[in-house]
This record gives sequence, C-alpha cells and structure tokens, in this order.
Amino acid sequence: MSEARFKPGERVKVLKAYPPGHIRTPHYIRGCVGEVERICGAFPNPEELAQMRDGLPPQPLYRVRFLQKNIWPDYAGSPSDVLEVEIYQHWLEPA
Amino acid sequence: MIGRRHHDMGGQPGAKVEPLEHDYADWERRIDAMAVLLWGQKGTRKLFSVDEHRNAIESLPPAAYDSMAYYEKWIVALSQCMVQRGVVTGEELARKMQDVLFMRQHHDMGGRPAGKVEPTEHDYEEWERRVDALSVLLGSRKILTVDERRRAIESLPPDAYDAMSYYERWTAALAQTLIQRGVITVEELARKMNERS
Repeated sequence: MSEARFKPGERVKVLKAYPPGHIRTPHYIRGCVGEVERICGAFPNPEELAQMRDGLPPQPLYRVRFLQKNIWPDYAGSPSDVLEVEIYQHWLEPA
Repeated sequence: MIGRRHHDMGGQPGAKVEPLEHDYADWERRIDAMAVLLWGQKGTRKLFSVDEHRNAIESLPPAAYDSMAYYEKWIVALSQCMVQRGVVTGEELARKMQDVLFMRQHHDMGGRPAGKVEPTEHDYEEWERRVDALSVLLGSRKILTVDERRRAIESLPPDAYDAMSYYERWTAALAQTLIQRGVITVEELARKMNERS
C-alpha cells in the first residue's frame, strides 16, 4: 500500500487535470482546496482497474471537506456549509 | 504620426500576396453563416451590426490579429459583440469554454443545471434484476471489474447515454466489457443479435 501522505486537518488541493477514462474525482471539484476530514483506508486504484490492470499498490482514499462557497461561485447558502468528497491520494497535493 | 490601426494595412510593406483559392472547412462556413444571420441580413433577428463585428475584429491586439486565421478573428469578434450587446456575459462564455477545453465527461453532471430530482421508488423489471445480478456475479468471478463497467457506461456517446435507461446502459456496458476481456467477440454478439431480430 502507498503511504498516506496527508493527515486529518491538512489542507489539500485537488489536481486540475482532465485525463480520459473512468475518473472518480468529480469534474466540479478539480482545482478546489479543502481539508482532509479522515483517511478512509486504501483501495486498488479504480482508474487502473477500469483499464483491466490490478490497480496496485492500493491508493489511500481521503474524505476531503470543502466549503460550498469555495466550489460554487454563486453559492447562496450559509458560508459555513460544507461538502465532503472522497478523493484518492494521487489526485491531491499540499495546499 | 496619426495612429494607423493595425488591420489597416494598405500600402504598408508586407509579404507577397499569394492569390490561392482554398476550400473552407466546415467550422469556417459555419462561422460565416452564423455571423450573417446574427447581422440580421437574412430577415433574421439582428443581434449586432456588421460594422460592430468589423470594429471588434479591428480592435484585436496586433499580436492576436496576426496570429489568428481569418475566421478565428470572426469568431472571437462575434463573441465580443455578443458580450457587448449583453446577449451573453463574459463569465458565461468563459465557463462554457472551460467545459469544452477541460473536457467534462458527459456523465459527470455534478453541479450542472438539471431538472428537479423526483425521489420516487419503482419496481425493477425482471430483465433489470437479471442484468444487475449477472454484472455483479461476473465481477465476483473476476471476469471483469465494476470499474470497467463504469468506464464503459461513461464512454457511451452523450446522445446514447441520455436516450438509454439506467439498466440499458448497464447492458451496453456489460457487452462492451465482455468484448474487451475477450469473453465474447463483436462478431459473435452481432450474429446472435441478428438471429433474434
């Protein structure tokens, strides 16, 4: 298993990348900055599994918490509203 | 010297003009047609004038003017006119262009405008249960993975994706992954489907 690079509470930025294939990182969250809420474990990389490879070593998966107002420019709800997205480690960099 | 606008090149030193004819590409024809229609010259609703359009072309920064093809200037100027006239906003345009540049896959709809979601339960049809069961069992037998099926679903052309029901997509994806894995061939599938038609 790949070592977990981030700890809960750390700020991370989602890669603003647009590779082809089966991608588990939603389009709308790419490029956004959030905070690691928890480490969910490690799992074979689904992007690799989708290409008929083994997806090993398992990639750490994080639940990352974002402020809604940082995602949607016209967000009209409370400024403290959050959205949590589960994102694999290879999509994250330190922020 | 009184400022000559960059586009106004008459009498200026320039490279030899090669009077070559060339066929127009589809995108060039389309921009030309769109512009003429938006000028209101075919009895269409006029959104801006041909002169506004020309002015927008002539207002391009010299470096941009020189680096763009003829119809690239037209399309940039056309969008500029629409922004100036308030037909679209600059922000809307930038967002839409991002969608194209940063290829959003059609299925990846989070945050997009969509109709109201109606949270109603419904019974599954027999064939839907069967497709679900088969797909999951083929996964547990390691014949294919759920991720391959998802990829196949997400690779459906947008019009097919929209036209199909949920389990129709699963069925199409199942066939596609079985072909990729070499469990069945395209020809075998085509022949069997033909026998049933």
